[in-house]
Amino acid sequence: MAKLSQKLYVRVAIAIALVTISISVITAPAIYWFSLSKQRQVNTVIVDQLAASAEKTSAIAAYLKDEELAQEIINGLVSNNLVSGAGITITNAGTIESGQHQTASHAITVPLTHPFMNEEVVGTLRVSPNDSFIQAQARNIAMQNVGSLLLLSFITASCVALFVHRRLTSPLRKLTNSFSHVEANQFETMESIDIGYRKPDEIGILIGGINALTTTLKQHLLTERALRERTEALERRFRLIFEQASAGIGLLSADNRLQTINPALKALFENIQEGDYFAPLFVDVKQVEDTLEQMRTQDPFAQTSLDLEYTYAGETRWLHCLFAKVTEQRLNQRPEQGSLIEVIAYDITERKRRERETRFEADHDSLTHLRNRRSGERALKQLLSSALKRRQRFVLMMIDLDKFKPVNDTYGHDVGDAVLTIVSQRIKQFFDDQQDVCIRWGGDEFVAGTVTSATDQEALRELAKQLLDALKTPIVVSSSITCQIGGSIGIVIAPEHGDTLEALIALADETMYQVKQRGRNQFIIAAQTLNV
Amino acid sequence: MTLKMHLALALPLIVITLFLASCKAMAESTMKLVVVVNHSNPIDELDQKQVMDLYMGRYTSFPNSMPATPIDYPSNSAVKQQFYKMLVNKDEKKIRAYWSRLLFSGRAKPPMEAESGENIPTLLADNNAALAYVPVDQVTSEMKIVFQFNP
Repeated sequence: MAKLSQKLYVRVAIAIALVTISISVITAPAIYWFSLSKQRQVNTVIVDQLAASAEKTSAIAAYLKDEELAQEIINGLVSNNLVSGAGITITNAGTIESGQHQTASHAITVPLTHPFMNEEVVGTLRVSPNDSFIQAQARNIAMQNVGSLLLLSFITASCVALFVHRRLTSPLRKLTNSFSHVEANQFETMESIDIGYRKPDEIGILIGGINALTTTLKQHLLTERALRERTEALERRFRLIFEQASAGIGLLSADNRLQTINPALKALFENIQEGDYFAPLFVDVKQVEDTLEQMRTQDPFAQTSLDLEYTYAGETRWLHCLFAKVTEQRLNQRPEQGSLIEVIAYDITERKRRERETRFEADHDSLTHLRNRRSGERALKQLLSSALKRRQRFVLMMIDLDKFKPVNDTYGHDVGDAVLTIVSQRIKQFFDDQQDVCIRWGGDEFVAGTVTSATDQEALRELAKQLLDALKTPIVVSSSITCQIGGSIGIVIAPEHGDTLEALIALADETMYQVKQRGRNQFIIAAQTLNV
Repeated sequence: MTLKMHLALALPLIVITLFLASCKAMAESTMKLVVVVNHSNPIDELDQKQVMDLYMGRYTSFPNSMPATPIDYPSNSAVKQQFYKMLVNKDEKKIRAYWSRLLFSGRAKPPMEAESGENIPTLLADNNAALAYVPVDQVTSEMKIVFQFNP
C-alpha cells in the first residue's frame, strides 16, 4: 500500500493547493493594499458626505454662535466610527471640538458660509476620519478576502483531488492492478483487461491499446512458441538423421577445415576431429583443394562429386565425396567470410575393387592376364601419342611363338595353356608394369610396346636378344613334361617407321614374317635397318 | 432754445420716466415695507444686516445692547412672505425649516408671532423693545422707521 502522499490524486491536490496558497500569499498584500486604499477612499467619501450633511446646520450654529448646537453637531459626528475628531471654528469666537485629530492632513475642512449671505464665511467645520478604524476595517476586509481565497483554494483542491481520484486514479489503479497480473511468460495471464471502464476517453483508449497489445503479443508469443517447438522437433529429427546417417556428413569452413562431422564420417577415417584440414586426408591433396576452390568461385549452387583415394590403417580405400555449397542467409549477408561446403562421403572401396576387377577382366586375357587385343590397342595408341608428344621413341615388338602348335597337339590344350601362361610371365619380366604395354595379340602372338629415349639401337637389340633367350628356355610344365619353344620378333620404331599404330603394326607383322621366313628364333628391326 | 426744441428733448425723458414708473409700480404692486420700533426706542437706524441678525436669532439685542423683541406677522400672510423674501431672499417655508432645525438644541428663538396684522401696532406700542415690520402706509405716529428696503 502506497503512502498517502505518494498517491497521484493527493499529490495533484497538494500541488493545486500549494499553487493556490502561493497565489493567495503573493496576492494577499496586494489585496490588502487594494482593500485598504479602496476602503479609505470609501470612508473618506462617507466622511465627506457626513461633513457635507452637517455643513448646513454647522453654518447655522456658527452664524448664531450657538455653541450648544455646535457641540451637538460635533458629538453627532464623533459618534460615528469613521470619525475620530470634529470641530467647528466660529469666526471671531472660539472653537468647539471633540475627539482626536490624529492626522491633520486627512482632515476634511469645510468653510461655513453665512446661511443668508453666501459671500460671508462664518466659520469652518473640520472632520478627521478615523484612520486606525478605517485601517482595521480595511484589514478585516482584506483578511476576509484572503481567507475566502484560501477557502476557495482548499475547496478547489479537494474537488480536484476527488475528481482526479474518481476519474483518473481509481481507474488507473484498477488498470495497474489488473495489468500486474499479466506476465509475458505465462500465456494464461495474458487476457484482455476488463475493469468495467467504458468511457471513450484517454483511459478507455489506453485500456483498448493495452488489450490490443496484449492480444497481439500473446498471439505472437504463441506463434513463436509453436514455431520454436516445430523447429526443435525438426532439429531433433535432423540431428538424428545427421547422427545416425550411414553416410559421412561434414561441413567445411571457408578455410577448408572440418567444421562439423557426424559419427559416420568420423568412422571413415582413422583419427579425425573437428577443426582438421580436409584436403590432406586424401592422397591427391591438390585435386581436393582445386575442386573446393573452384566450387567457391563458381555459381552458388555448384555441386561436385569426386572419388577420392585415401589410406586407412595402411590400406588404400576410396570415398565417393559429394560436395555442395551451403547457402545460408547469414552467410549471404557476409560474403567475405566465404561459404560453407557440405560434404557427404560414402565408402566405395569395395565397389572400386569390383570395378577394377571387372575392368581388368574386360581388358585382359583371362589366361595370361596380359592385356587383350582390344584394350592393348587402346593402350598402345596412348603410349604412342604420348611418346610422339614428348619426342621419345616408341618401340613395338610383334612376338610370335615358334613350335607352339606341336606342344598343343602333343600334350593337349591344358599344357598349351600352361606354356602360354609361363611365356607371358617371361615376356612381362622385360617390361615395366606401369609404363609399358604387353598384349596377348592372338593365339600364340604377343605384342609389347615400350618407350625409350635412347637414339641408338644397342639397348633395344640387347633387350630383343634376352627376350629370345628367355623364350628358348625350356618350360617345365610338370615333372614329366618339359617343352621348348622359341620366338620370332619383328620390331618397329616410331616415328622412324611411321606415326600411326595401324601402320606400325602392319610393318611389325610384315617384319615378323620376314623373321619366320629366315628361319625363326631371331629378331629384325624393320625398314631402313632391315639388315641384322 | 425754442419750445419745440425743449419739447423734443423732454419727450424721450418723459417716456423713460413713465416706463420706469410703471416698472416701479409693478415691483411695488405688493407693497412697500418698513422696519419700525417703538417711537421711544433710542435706536434711530438699523441696516439690513442688523435687521437680519435680529430676526434670524443671531442677536437678541439691539446694537446698543438693549434687548430686542422682534415681532412677526402671522404665518401665511403676504406681508411676512414679502418681508423674508426681501430680507434673506427666502420663502416662508425655508424660514420655518430654519427654525425647526434650532427647535431642540438651539439657543436662538424665532420672533414672536402676532395673532394678526392689526395687533402689531398695539404690540409695538406696548413694548419698548419691540421691533416690527409693517407696510409703509400703516406707519403710525407711535412708530419710528429704523430701516426701509432699498427701492
